Amino acid sequence: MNRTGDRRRRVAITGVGPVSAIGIGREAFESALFRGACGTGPIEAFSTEGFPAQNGAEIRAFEPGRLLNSLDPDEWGRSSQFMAVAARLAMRDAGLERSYDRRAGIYVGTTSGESQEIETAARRWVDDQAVEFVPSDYARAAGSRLAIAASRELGFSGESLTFATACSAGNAALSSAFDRIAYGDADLMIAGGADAICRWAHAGFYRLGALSGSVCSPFDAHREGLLTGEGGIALVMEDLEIARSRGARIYAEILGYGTNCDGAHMVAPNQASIEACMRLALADSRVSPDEIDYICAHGTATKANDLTEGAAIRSVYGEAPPPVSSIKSMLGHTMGAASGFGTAASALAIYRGLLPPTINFSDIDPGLGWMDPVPNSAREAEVRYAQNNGFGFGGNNAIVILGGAHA
Amino acid sequence: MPSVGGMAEGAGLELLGWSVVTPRGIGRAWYQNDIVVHGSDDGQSTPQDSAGPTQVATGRVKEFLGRRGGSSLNRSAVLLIRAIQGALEEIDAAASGDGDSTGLVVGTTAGSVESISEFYRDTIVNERPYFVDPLRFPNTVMNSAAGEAAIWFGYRGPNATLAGGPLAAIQAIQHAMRLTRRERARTVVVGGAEECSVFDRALGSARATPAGGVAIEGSAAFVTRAAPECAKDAPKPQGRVLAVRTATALGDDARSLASALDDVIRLAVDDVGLGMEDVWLVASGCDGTGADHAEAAGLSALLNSGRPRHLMPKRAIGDVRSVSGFMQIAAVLAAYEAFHERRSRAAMVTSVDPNGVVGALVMRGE
Repeated sequence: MNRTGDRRRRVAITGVGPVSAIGIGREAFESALFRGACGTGPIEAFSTEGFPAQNGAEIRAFEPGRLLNSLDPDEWGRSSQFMAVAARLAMRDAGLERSYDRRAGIYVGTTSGESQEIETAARRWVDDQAVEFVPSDYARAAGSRLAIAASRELGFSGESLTFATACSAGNAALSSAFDRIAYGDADLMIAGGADAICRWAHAGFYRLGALSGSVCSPFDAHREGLLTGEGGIALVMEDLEIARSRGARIYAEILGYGTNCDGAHMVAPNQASIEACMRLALADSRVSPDEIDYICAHGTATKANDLTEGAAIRSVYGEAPPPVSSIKSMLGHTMGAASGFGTAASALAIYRGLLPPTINFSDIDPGLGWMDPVPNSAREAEVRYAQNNGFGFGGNNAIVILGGAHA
Repeated sequence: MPSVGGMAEGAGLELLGWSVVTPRGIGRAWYQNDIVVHGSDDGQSTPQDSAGPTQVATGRVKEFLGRRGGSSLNRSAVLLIRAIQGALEEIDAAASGDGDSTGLVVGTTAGSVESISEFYRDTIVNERPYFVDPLRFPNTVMNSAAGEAAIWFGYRGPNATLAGGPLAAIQAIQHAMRLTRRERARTVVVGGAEECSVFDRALGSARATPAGGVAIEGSAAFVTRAAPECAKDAPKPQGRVLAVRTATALGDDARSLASALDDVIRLAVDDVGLGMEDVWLVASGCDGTGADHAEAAGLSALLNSGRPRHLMPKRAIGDVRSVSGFMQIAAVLAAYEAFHERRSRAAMVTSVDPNGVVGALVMRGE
């Protein structure tokens, strides 16, 4: 029965395509996720000489040529490659690689787009003191290319749309794709996010005092901050009835979402606004807080985020919030892909009846004493409904609610 | 000639106030007078020459924006905020809606390449790679202009930045239509800004864009809403967008782009129950140089069927990249104002992203 009345169709997640530091492909990713694998370590993608903090979560030995069927990786930047591979893997996971409606749309979230392309061009400017301006350099930097790459890889001719709403962009893309199916404009959509690790973000977060010198330990009393990461994630979303009629595996259902903007500060999270976003998401989905069995947190492991997010959860959920874990402990902060990975993890949690852990955990922050962070090991639990949080610079908030796809 | 009757995407999106900011002028009145006279392809237009100004004379930000607090804003944010101010000035302030439910949708290409490049440069040339200015870090994300504008105006509804390049305006309008139709927001401010990057300045007079045109900076903003307001003092719309179609071409060659554009043009006019011959006016992203041949080819069926007027704002203004589509929509509204008897006739706006996306939009006047 459609919880929101019959004005909306139901939306199923039928394919998961992760390109991550803990695994590429749904099986490898899922196994690592529930094993509590750690994808962080010394950064090699750029020189970290002179930085006191030198760790991140980069994807080593990424071979796009082996994972792409259509695109020539030499023609695309790293973020576009991630997104195209993720989309290919998601369609394969959904069992749709052979035949599908090519008019489907692809919505992608990103924070920095083709960040490495801009760094390459900027490096020439720095070294030469003048730009040997090749117009194609700038063209390769366009954020639109992330979604276009995925469409081109799959031969899709529908919409290709890149949401550049910082670290909640994955959820922003998923939310808009949800609307397309729920309101009858589309039967199939691909949505997710991608970003590539880059030097300028590493420097910026360090300068803000938000970067960890070791591991990422969300909610821990001694946490040092986030670790910059990279990756691509794509989810195949379909009209639930169509998915059922073709015998698709349905990981979970997306029930609704909430999105708003703090309108207060570019960087610092705003508790009242985050609370309001949670309430919007729950109301849109017609799910009450006591029905949520798991919250996949934004959980960057900065002092500010974890306390603010925690306080907002406590305010909305009252005395007994559900378990809250942060997969950024394993993946690092994958920026525009982060909330896409969170939605994937939430869907897998529902499907498998397993809670992803918060790894690198020792002692809870005294300000979060009420929290069950699913410390270090995955735990079996029935997950009927889950909430996935995404917050970003610019005050952009986007939260997605998922449920098990029972009749 | 039939007036526009059918509606796709619900009741359409009403365009209330709007404004533009360019190196040659600011505001609806200036743009209306200049573009309507200079934008057509009937031989009267004067292409923007490369010696003209490419930057907006912002001067001191405090004076440009009329109040304090803009010192750490990047140029994209300053330009966007100025355009939104102009749009709000065109309508009664009370009608701009309450902040909590006002959404903001902003188009971009790659954010502020200037901010990113200079921030990155600091990590290379300074004594320590982390000797960067923390206040400028937020300027490096693509949604910095949207975030700063939301803070400036108190907009707390859905906030989206769409990296669409030449398609950004059409995509942003489509997103606003969907937000309002699905009641995710009541009023949505839609706009975009592009600044001249360090690359442009370093090149001096050869300020080439990938398409070969002259890159200038600028911004635009529209206050939009869906469904008529019941209050009797609600602002009347100046136009409304009735259908939007975008698609991804199967390749980035001119033939694929032209074919895809022709498809979305046909789909969009069909969405409103019209034929191509019923279109009175088209404002395209063409600039009259050879570089726009993909879009020109995609338009040929439309231009040959009903012989619509063809406005090319890029010829008169220059290439404002992701703001181009907004300049085109503004040109259509200006044309409806100048030719009031045509306000019930359909107009189209088209865009082509050489990376492989095309779009077409159908609108009418009021």
